[in-house]
Amino acid sequence: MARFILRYSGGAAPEEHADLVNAASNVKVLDRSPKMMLVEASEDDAQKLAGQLPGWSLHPEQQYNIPDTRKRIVNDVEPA
Amino acid sequence: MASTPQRYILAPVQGFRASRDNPREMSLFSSLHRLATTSAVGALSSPLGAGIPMRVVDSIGETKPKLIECLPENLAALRASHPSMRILPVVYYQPALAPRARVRRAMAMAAAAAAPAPAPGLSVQVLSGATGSPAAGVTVVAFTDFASRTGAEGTTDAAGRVTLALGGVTAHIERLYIYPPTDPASGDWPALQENVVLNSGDTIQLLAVDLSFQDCVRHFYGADDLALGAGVTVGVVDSGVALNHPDLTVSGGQNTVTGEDPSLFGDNATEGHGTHVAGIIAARGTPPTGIRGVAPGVTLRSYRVFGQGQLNASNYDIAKAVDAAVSDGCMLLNLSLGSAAGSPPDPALESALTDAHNAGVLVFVANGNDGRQPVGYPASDTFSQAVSAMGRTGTFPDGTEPAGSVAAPFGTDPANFIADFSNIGPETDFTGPGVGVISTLPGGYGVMSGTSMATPAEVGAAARVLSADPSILAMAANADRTAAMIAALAAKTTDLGFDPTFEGKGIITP
Repeated sequence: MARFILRYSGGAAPEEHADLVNAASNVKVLDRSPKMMLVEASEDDAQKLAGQLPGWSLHPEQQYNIPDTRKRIVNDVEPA
Repeated sequence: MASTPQRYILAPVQGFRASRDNPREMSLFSSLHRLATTSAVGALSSPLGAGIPMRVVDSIGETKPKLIECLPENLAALRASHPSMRILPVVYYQPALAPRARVRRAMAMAAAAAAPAPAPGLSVQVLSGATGSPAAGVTVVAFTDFASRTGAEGTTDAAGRVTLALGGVTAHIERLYIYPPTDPASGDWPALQENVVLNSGDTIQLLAVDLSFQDCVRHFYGADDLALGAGVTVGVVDSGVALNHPDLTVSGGQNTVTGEDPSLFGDNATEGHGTHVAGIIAARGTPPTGIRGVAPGVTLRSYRVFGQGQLNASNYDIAKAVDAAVSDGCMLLNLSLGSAAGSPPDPALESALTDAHNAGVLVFVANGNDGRQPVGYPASDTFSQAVSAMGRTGTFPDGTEPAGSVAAPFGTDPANFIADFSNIGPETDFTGPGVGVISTLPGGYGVMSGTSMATPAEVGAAARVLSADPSILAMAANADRTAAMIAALAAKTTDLGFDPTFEGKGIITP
């Protein structure tokens, strides 16, 4: 199981599409916004669902960081 | 250094074909199509001045994408001249071969060595310059060999003490970095000492932050007028903004972290990053008791995408924040975040950034701090305004950490330099002051460096430019407004004398 983003390419997503996602077995809806849904499913199930939803695209969830400028130790000093 | 022409794809703002409802876009793609029939280097006309030399290598069709060749340093000018056009990298795919196994040095060393005896410790104490008391939670990083990043590090305890495993009770330290805590703020400058002998029992005193000090942001953008930026709404997409800070007025926002309360868009109790970013744009304090941002008159909104106590954010939460900020009427967005240098586009964020562009919202994104590496994503997105970090000697006290970021290239004014940590590349649109920046933090004030700081400095400067242009403020929120904003900023940008891959078109000068 992994987390995927479903994003609608128009304005607000049609309500019947959200109903279809909610009703899908093996797909858990974690969050919803006017244009997107965050779902947990196997890749096969997520792709199958996305294929039934015109105007929606499927993307993997991924993480971003705050860019850091702190210097860090890569190699420890060897004991004397 | 002369560069060679690179290939890029020029695509319509949306989809695969130029829209017949957009005569300007149709005309542009038709003229590029005609250029494709010649092999000569032509010049794409620019409403901002001189033409941009390029060769149209191929055209899929009159209204469809073009393959072009042009110098990377001309991309910033191309984006500024034709903002309603996507400039995409040409991507080459490789066979999916299994990677060759390689020995990792650290693991090989660990396997070769018998379990070593615990290293003798070198204990030092750090005192806060702001309070004179022992400073807890300070990160001390001691490099015996900076080039190989060899040394030891640790964090001070409640008594301000830390023990460093440096192999003895005395050591020659090539570089000693000391980073005070930022959430809550310690009120001290981060320190850098070079070529020092450290003895166990030594005490190091940090330098207190003087809020009247002219750092690099105040050097370029210092101003007294609290109305600067009025009429412009700015969204900070970050770790939240401290809502109780006396210098900050947050008009609203949303926490878009999945599973968290949407109303909690204040600081997320990590490093105070979003609060620092917000202060650079919009702080309304008065030195020496407070700090003043670049555009204190803007309407500030906070969109928290980093979970409570978390230092990473999901692309879903970021895209949701961008959508929410667009819907809330923000004109400018600040994204001081990103993936590793040179990461590929993220289609989920790409879609949100395209929607923001089409809704009249300009999104500024930090290039990243990987040290002269390629621009990270989403800064590298065609619709992002990518910002590198520059600094200026004389705008940080002696013995402080920003001194370690001074590096070539230097500008026409030799006091200006591109920070050693800044990522660079043809996607860069602007450079901004981001070395040793004093700003707000939860519980006080502190100093941070990074493209994270350069980006809000340029957002604040952009807000000042737009605030002074009633025709743009009156425009409908659509792609035409975005194009007008980009043109207005291009007209107020100063070339500092760096290569365009370092500074884009330069620094915004309201």
